[in-house]
Amino acid sequence: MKVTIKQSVLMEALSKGGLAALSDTAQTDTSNLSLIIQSVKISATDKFTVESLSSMMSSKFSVDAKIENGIDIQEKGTILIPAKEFVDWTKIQGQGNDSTISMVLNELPTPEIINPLDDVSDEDVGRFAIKKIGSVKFASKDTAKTSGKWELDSYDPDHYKPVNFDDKGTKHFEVKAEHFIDALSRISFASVKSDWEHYLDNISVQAYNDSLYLLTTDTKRCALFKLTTVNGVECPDPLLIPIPLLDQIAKHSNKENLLSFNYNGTEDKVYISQANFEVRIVSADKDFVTKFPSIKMLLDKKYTLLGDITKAALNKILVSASLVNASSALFSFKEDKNIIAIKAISEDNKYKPHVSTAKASELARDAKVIWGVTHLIQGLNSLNDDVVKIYTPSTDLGSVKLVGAQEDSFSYFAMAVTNPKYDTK
Amino acid sequence: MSQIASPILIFGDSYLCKDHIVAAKNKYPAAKWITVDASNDTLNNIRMEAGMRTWDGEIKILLIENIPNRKQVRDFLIDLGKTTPETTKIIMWDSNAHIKIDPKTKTFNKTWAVFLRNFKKIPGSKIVNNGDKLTENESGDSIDFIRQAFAKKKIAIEASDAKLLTKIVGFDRGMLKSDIEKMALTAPPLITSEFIMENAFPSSKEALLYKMSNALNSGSYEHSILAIESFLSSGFHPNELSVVILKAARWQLVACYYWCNGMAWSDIPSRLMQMGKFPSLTWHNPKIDSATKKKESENYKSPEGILKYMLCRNGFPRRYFKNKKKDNKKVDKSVRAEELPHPFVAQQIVGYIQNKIIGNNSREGISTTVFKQNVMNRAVNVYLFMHEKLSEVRYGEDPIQDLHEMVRMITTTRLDQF
Repeated sequence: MKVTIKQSVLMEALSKGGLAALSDTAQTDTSNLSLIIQSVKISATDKFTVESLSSMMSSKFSVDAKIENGIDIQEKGTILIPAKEFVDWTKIQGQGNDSTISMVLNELPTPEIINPLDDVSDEDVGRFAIKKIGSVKFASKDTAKTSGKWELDSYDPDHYKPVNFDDKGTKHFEVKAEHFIDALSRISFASVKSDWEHYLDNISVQAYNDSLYLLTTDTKRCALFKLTTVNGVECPDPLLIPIPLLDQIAKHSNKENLLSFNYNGTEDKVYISQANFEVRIVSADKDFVTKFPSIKMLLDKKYTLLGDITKAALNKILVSASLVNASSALFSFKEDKNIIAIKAISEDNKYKPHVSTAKASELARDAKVIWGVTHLIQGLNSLNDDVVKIYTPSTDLGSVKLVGAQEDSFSYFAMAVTNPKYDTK
Repeated sequence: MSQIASPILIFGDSYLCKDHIVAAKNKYPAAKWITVDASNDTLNNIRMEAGMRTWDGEIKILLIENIPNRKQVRDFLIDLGKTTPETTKIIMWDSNAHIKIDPKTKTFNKTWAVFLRNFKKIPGSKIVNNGDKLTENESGDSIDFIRQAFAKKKIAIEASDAKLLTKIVGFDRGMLKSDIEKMALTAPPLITSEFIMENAFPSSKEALLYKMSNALNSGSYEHSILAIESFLSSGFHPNELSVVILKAARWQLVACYYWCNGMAWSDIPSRLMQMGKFPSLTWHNPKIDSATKKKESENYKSPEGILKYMLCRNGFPRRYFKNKKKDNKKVDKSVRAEELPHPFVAQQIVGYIQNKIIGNNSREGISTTVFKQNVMNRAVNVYLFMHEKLSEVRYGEDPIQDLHEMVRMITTTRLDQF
């Protein structure tokens, strides 16, 4: 293989196609096949393709091998080389200058067997043996006439088990990447950062009444986002997609283009694609999908307006209360005076009980209820509105719903707390 | 689900506590399990977790662990147990083992006794006491634990064999329980010492002595070499193994001496068990029973006791002894006289001499006196060889080869080869 490619094109190809190999899951892999899992397969044919694969995801970036795309293939071929080392070297070549990188594979007369572990039994040698087919020499040259050289081992590309990105299952929806990234950033806080059952660290995608919603929860609160600029919603079943993987994809996608989501139910995999960039990621077990709150349950439940208040005022009294007790406080709504008072009592008596009040506009009724203070602060931070509307269920005070006065795409639900320290009567 | 008692307090042996919690998690997988740390999480947060329902309406089980020894936290936990709504079940685990029985008063320590009393008053509360950590001093507890664990599997075990198991496995309840469960799969209705020697996993410090002696007393070179290889691969140092082989040779020498002096085979094990026990005049007195021997020897265990014995019983003049100032250094147990660890080992040594050496050598054409001389000659030669090899294992170039030679020597039973 002999290829000359622009550094910027190569970096884009490596960061997208090598997404799986560069992920934490792959880079911390200690299995016998870790060398392969941490490598990217680069194919130079009519197309220039970069692929990688880990237990959680596989990624592929493919572009036409044309001079006008910054790619000149002098000799076709395929290599499998360590991803991180190659990306680290490529990143620093010709910074600020238009740099070109050439890659040449020097094949060994006979492949060399590498056994990454010493204690592999004879019968397993065949299974775990990794073949080194040669070394790839890299050279870079930029407009400032600075050049760099490097060399990496190339393993046998046949070790790489290719993923069939043609069998993506049913198409669920398409959304503008910018819109999806915004939604993700606004609701991911309500998820569990690292869930041992691997479902509360997922985002749930559910369709309801011809609209598509994204939902996160840690079982105590839910953040809900309605995708408005979405095409072709065909979402028969809810999907669960791991947030850490989505974050990585969001970071590397082109914000202006559409992201397309497909689901293959037989293999429980979600396919996300955008122009030349395709990713396959694992979905949570089907059993866990039903454990997530359904959008229907949230949206059909009747909530009535308790009142509205400016975001700044509510945030101020919440922060004051959180200094005494960040976990729970008593919220008193006084209709006659249009005042919201928050009383916080510290469980360990470290601080004196604290009451802070703020003026609301037109409270609908009196109410006394205990809510999680930090929960409300976090929900409030995700609201892109100056005025917040506070809703409670018509029948009880078991939860609270916050929405912006103008924007209805984001809503936030939090459960009420029982705390005998506070008098709710 | 609503039948789960709440609050539950679990304390005692940490392995069994974990076992209970894992069993509960398996029993109630649909419940939402939340674990909080009472030392590092704020009390505000624990109260919030206890008082907040989940969206799906599932029962929430709040596991509170790492409880600190602070009155404020104890009072908080009692209040939490009393006031938490039905939808949340509380499990408090004393993972720091604050709640334990004072060995002197045999009651719970005062601070936590009040906590336990208040906890019991909470309606619906349940206390799970998994017992204190087993120790060598409270050997009755460990024997009871082992016998009860086997009894649950409908298997019987004698107290002496239960003790042997603790010598090999140690006093960790978790290790014992795991070994008992493993052995119960293939155990006979009555567990024998041989079965324990074969199947117990060596995890105590003394296990090497038992397991290695067991291999050597089989008289099989191959079996003993396999044992050596196995211990070496488990990380034991050749020095440790050579000491065990030397001890086995010494015990054989003593047993041979007793037999050559006309002692009956049946009497030799009990005499071997008295090896190294002080005062020898008491322990070797055939006129007093073993309980009295044990009682009488108690007075002479300390340095002061030994001095008293020398002065009063043996009649040494006081001027023979220097008046040394007392220091608070602990007495190093390893410098005490050597004792056989268990009657089973004594039985094995006698069995080896009787069956493998005396039984395997023909007495035809030689007198009993000459035969006894040959037996003693072998025992002395083996012992002296071991002594020589001990230093070679320590300072020589190929300790493994030296170990193999030691095994070859001790497993050689033919008297004409010495």
